Amino acid sequence: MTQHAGLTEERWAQFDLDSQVLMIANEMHRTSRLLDDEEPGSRRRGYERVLRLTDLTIATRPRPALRRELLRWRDLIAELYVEDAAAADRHRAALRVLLQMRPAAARQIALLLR
Amino acid sequence: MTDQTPDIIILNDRIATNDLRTLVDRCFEDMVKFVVDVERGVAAVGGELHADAEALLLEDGSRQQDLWGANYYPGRAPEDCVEYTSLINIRPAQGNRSMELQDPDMRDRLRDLTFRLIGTGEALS
Repeated sequence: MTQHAGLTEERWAQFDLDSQVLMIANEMHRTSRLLDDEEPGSRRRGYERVLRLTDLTIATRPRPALRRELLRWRDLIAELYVEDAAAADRHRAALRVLLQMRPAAARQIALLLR
Repeated sequence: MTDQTPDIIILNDRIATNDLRTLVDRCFEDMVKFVVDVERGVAAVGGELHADAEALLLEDGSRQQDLWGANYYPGRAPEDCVEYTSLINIRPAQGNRSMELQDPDMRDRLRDLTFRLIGTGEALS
């Protein structure tokens, strides 16, 4: 069972979009530290958490343009999730683009992507 | 004028420096997102999402296959002021399978339009 399996849409919807994006980014950042692990299980569990939170955001955010970008972004994470080997460069690029979805989150780029 | 500047501006000619400064400061402070139509030679600049600028250009008569997204960073050298990355660039049907615009000719066309309509990295202050 993934860490956020009990997190409901109703609960997630109580967070504003900036908070939602930052929490997804936080999971991406945590997963960054698992990319060097030879065993892919922990990395995959990290991406499962990222996908779970992304799906919750997509479900609770009706704005079409945002939904389109989140779905495209989700595809990138899904690719990282299914691949056998870690892809640190693509992981960082995906995290950067996620943070660039919101001005407030973009201010974290210098901190998270040093 | 600055408070009345729309969130996204469609450009046929070079953007006024004040308008560019407003758009940069309004959202990301160090950069502005934009989408170009490489066939019509226009760009939509500003907004939080490339998808918003994309939607505006589609309403304006653009075809999606001609639209490419990027980020513009004022205050950087010409070779560094354009980041050819956007989620709207993921278009496997056109051979672009990543967020980054891959085709060198298309990158050149995007860059040239950027230089003509937005800037070559000049500082805004």
